[in-house]
Amino acid sequence: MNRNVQYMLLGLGAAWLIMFIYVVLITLRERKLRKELDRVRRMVEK
Amino acid sequence: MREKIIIGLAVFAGALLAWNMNTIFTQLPDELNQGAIYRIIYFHVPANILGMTGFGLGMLLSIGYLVTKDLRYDALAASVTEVSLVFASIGLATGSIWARIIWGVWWAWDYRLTSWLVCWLIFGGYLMLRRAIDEPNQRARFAAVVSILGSVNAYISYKSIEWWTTQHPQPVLSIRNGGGMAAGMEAPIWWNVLALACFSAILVMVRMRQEAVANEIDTLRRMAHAQ
Amino acid sequence: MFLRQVWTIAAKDLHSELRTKEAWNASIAFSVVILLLFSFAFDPSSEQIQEFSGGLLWMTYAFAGALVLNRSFAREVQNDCLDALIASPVSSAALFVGKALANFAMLYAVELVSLPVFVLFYNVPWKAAQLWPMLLVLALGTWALTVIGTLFSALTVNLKLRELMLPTLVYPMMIPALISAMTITTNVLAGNPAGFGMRFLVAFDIIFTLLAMVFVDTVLVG
Repeated sequence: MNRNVQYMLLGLGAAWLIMFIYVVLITLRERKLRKELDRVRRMVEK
Repeated sequence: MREKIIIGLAVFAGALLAWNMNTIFTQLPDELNQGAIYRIIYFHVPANILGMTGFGLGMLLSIGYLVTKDLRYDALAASVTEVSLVFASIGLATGSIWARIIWGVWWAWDYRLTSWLVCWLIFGGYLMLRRAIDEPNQRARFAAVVSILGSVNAYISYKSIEWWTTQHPQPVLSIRNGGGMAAGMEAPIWWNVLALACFSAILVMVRMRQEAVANEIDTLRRMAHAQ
Repeated sequence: MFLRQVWTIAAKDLHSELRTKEAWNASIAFSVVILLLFSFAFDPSSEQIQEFSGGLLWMTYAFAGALVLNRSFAREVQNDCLDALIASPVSSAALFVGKALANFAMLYAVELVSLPVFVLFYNVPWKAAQLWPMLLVLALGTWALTVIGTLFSALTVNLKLRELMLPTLVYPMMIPALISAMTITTNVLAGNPAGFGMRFLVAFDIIFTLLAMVFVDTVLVG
């Protein structure tokens, strides 16, 4: 494939990859926060 | 209600993006000198526009916090800055890949690239600083100061292609009184800005809710310890 | 009144530093060592040294300066001196400017001492006409470093990870000023006019000094 087109796809891929990684990080943080929230709620109820 | 807004925005942005990608890849011809690689501009420029605007918005929100002492300004500033940092990363990465073909190097130390990298470092430091401080009011205060000082650099980066002769291309978009692009080539940039702006709004809303949850955890934890 | 407070603070800092000369000795030794090490890395006799002479010099100053600026507020933490200073009638802006002036004086002195070392080791062709522009660039660039370093020294003084956060925050912030100073210095040493960089550096100095004076109160007190 034309090197030009290759790099263009690489560029697009890089952009989407970075966005994807960020969304994954947000999701992981969401899960961690939910767990922590439940834990602290239980602690308060005791 | 909030979920509906998010889903609505996501659908709208997704459709717009798909339509725009169609235009970019099937209907526009290759650029005369650059070939296919120039299409990266349709992600590089919108990402950097959003990044820079986001840093500026973060600065305004930080000032808002310092004036009102309302922590919601701080939460919004942090969310906006974080999302803007992601877009800045995308801008740096796409720019670098474009440069590899056009300039033959992955990086150049001209004023535009250097000042934008500096912005990235400063606002990365902003996020690091936030993690280093536990007390919410102190964290908000210090983060606000860093954000305001950092946005001076964002402005320097914005103006850098006017103030210095840089390897980075000179202003080309119509809003900067630039040389202009061929017919039909500039519009997809702005459509992508709109689509990515919608995405960033979604990300900011998600992030804001996480901030609210984190605050609730803090409050509950304090209550638990007080008992 | 403001000026008197500034002068008192600056004099206090300078006195306390001159008594022990800790930072002074460390800074001078550090900058000479770095210049030496760089001279092993690059062949000082080549003509290319002209091109990055400015860069070399300012890298040295930035690192040596960090030693001085780090301690600026950190030395007040012992014995609750910082709390005493904040509680005193001295305004935060005066406290900041006083400390910044003291730091500036020390840094400038270190630079003046290192400059002949640099000229010597690197065979920099030196014309008398370059002296005043050189001193001006040193002053403007050093003031930029000082303002940023002093403000962030205040900001990080009570943080857990002070040693990590201070360089992380300070160095990126300094880069525009450093780059300008480097290009102007290279130009001055080559005998060329200073260029746009000078205006940029002056503007940078003014803007950051004003911003620092506005925000030092937020940072120290709240």
